[in-house]
Amino acid sequence: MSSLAQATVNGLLAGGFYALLALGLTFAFGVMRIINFAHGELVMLGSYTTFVLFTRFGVDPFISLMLVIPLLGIVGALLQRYMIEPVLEAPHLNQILLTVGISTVMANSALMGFGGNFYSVSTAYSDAVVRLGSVSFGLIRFIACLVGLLLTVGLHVILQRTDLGRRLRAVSQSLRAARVVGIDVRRTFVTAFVISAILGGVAGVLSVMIMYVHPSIGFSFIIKVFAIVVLGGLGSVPGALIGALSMGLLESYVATYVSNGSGWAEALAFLVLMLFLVVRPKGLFGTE
Amino acid sequence: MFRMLQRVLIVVCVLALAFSSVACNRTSKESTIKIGALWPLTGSQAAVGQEAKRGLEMAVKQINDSGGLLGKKVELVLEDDKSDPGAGVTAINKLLTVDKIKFFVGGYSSTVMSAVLERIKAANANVIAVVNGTTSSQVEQSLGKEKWLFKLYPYDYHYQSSNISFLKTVDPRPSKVAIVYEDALFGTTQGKFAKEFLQEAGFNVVAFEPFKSGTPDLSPLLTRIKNTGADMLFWIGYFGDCILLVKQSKEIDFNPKLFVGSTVWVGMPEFVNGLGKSAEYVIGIDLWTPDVQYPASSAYPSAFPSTKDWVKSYTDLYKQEPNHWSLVNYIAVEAIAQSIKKAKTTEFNAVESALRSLKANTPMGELSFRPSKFGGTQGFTDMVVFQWQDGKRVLVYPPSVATGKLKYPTPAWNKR
Repeated sequence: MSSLAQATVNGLLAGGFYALLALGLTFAFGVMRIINFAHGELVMLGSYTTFVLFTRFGVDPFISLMLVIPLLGIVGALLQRYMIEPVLEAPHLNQILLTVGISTVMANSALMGFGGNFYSVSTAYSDAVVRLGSVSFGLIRFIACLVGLLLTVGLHVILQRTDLGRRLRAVSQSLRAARVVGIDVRRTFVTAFVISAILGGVAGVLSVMIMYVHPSIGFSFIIKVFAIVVLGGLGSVPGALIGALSMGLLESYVATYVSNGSGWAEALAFLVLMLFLVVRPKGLFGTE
Repeated sequence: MFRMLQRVLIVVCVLALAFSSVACNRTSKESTIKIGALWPLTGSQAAVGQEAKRGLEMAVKQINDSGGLLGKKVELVLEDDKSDPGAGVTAINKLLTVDKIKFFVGGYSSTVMSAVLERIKAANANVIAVVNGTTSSQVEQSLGKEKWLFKLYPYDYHYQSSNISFLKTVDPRPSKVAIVYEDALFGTTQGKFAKEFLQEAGFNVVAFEPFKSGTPDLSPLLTRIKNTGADMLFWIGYFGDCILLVKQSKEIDFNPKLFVGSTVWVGMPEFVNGLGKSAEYVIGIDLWTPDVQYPASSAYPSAFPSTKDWVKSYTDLYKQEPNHWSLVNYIAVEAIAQSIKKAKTTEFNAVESALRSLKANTPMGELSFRPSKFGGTQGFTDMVVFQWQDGKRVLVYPPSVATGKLKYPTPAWNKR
């Protein structure tokens, strides 16, 4: 029984972390209809920034958010303005090739700058453990899950209740109609991509404490996150959370209770992905 | 304006290209002895390749600074396999046909090297290959008997037999062993030998579980292992997996008496930097660490100085601590160079027999090529076992190199 509780907690925490990784990707798609394959590299950029600030200057990872957020915002704005914007109305294949290209350039720049080593940030509290009866879990994982939840709720509220949200939804529904009613489409897209990049950066700050960072980590993230986003419905913010939690729980139960299950858990993500693509391509919460 | 700038740039690029090819032609006309090498310089295993590169360059510099070979300079032709068998085959084709190398050193991944060595065999080009990576013994089973193949780096079974001869000395023995291994070629072959040797040695293996390397969460696997009541965790995985296995054992409060990472990744400085205090008591294995002390070779004192002197020249040059990847590459190049010197020619048969009879104390211990388990020719076979104690690697096995005593059993997480 205790192992069931532990397996559930493991799954929920993993799911919360996945949600954090998936949020920026699904948001950018929801607004701009573009799959940003470089989202994993934005996470990586957040991680390396945190790592450098921590090891060179002793900056606490949570304080480094104050630099990571503006940095990723600027990177996001530049990427959107000079890279993504010119291809927004190009065929999907071109957009995919472009974002895959950005991802490769960023990963290889990281390799040149930092070498191929794996780095992790270890603070006084980064391996703190919370014990509740027979269940225990890592404090940072719990925080990451919480942040994932809060950001999902926050983003949902922004989209549904604010002026900015209405603009974002308008451009995603119809570019032409949005232009007709006087929305500055270009600026709205930049805003959307900046938010998406910042979400990636925040995920990076937490993931370098939870896991580690290395130049090709973005690629390993994007594969799983893509499966989650398709499961939840591409572009749906609550969908990403539900997809992430389901994936986390599913993996956890399989790995805990099935012999050789950890080997299967990863395959499971793609089985689910394929199943959804065939049976319900719009995902759990998708709109198209 | 922009147009013009663009044109100027294009002209500059073309000129740069032209000059660089002129430069290339000039060096290839010079008579050098070429040593081809293949390592993953980019991609996920780039850290290994970059470290290998430092060792290769250090050896070539040492040889050329002391007068070269047979009156010629040694030239290193280093190619990137990108951890990809296809890229590896392209690179070896280039080395064999364009550079026409006669000596080869490499490489890291067993998957890549299987393809590369098959290609060398098919080319039938009288190339001597010193293989100083590649742990999968499947390579030995299919190619080990080839006369041109000299295996410097230990195979998977050497890793595990060293580690398990250490575990046999642990008293009292852990009663339930859990083995977890990454599910690609590296982990599955090593895992198979680990299980076989542990059971032969009388250990009770209660779990034998694969996992996917690089997965962001190993807590479900560890929860499963914890449920078996295992008191020793024995794993085979890559660097990130080692970090997560230890970190998450703490998170779910899994308290085995021994944490044994049967992989060289546990010895990296980034392991202890990334884990901090949680790295304490963790046991790892390595071909070599800078703490091991071997004397200089009496026959080749400048090629093979003592461990201490070699580490000093490396750190002076690169301002960081070496690991075995640079040293094993340094040794591979020097072994070829000293054999060429002895043979007084670069002719295949003469160098091959000189290399076969080479005997030297190296900074990595005594080196000679001997027959091995599946018919191959093997250089190094013994690994060293260490434990992280107070943020330092303390060698605990074999007794001849030990620098301290094993701290055992590992206290529970909440008692540390």
